[in-house]
Amino acid sequence: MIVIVQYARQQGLLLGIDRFTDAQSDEACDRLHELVKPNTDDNVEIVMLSADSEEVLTKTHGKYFSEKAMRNIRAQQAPVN
Amino acid sequence: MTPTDWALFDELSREWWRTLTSIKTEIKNLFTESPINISSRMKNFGTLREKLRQTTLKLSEVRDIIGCRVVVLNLNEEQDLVVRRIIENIEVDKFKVIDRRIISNHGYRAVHIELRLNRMRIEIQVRTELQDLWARTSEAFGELVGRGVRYGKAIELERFSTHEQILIAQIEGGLASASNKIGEAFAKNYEQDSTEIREIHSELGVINSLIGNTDWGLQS
Repeated sequence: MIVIVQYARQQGLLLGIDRFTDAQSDEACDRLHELVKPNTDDNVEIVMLSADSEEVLTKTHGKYFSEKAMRNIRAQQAPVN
Repeated sequence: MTPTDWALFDELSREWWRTLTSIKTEIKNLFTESPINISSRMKNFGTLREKLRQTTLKLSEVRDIIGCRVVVLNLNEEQDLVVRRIIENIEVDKFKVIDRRIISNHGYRAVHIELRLNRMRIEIQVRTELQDLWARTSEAFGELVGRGVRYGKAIELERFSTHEQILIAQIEGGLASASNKIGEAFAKNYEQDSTEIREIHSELGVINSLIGNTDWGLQS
């Protein structure tokens, strides 16, 4: 899988995450450029990662996938009652 | 950046990604009997731009635009095996191993393999869980006090309150001590579940909690 993360360094929080399959690398590159071009905030990291699963990414790039970092994303994804 | 620069960056980054994917697959296939935790990443463009602005490096000379990271258990032999298997089997033009397990780079310990392929440089970081935890903790500290601290630059303490300055000194000391102990763990070849390894994990846990749970809003 391919993942593009937008991460606020000082706050240690993920601002956004895009997920793609390995076969969608062209779409992932398009999305990366779409995000990178307008970004002028040095506090925001935009990184493209790839691994077999998100579990592996949690082990190798825990900074982006820790409980704290994912807090915003989980809140956005939580079902609304 | 001009539209031409962006077009070049677009083209280059697609080429980097293709090369990176092929290297990652090649490495992964060396460990089919016991899969390893491996991922690949393309450097944050902002960091790359910052690096090119602040140094005399050319784009072709930046070592870590693309790279892979492997995180292994806290066992010397496992880290050695991964490094050895990669350098013995991977088909590249050139490679260089940088072993920072005994002599750290400002506390950072790991083994890096620099690969050269088709005029591209790919950095493979092979870290144990403990080395990785230290690196992440140090990185998080760097985001708070200034990233230069990771390369030996002094912290501008006057930006922080007295209370924060005390915490910063404790964290700095704790990171230095944990790094020394990780170096010692390598030299003495401690077992994965040894008391020493568990203690270092726990010390880094405390430091992480100081970094993450402190209200650093007092800085001016």
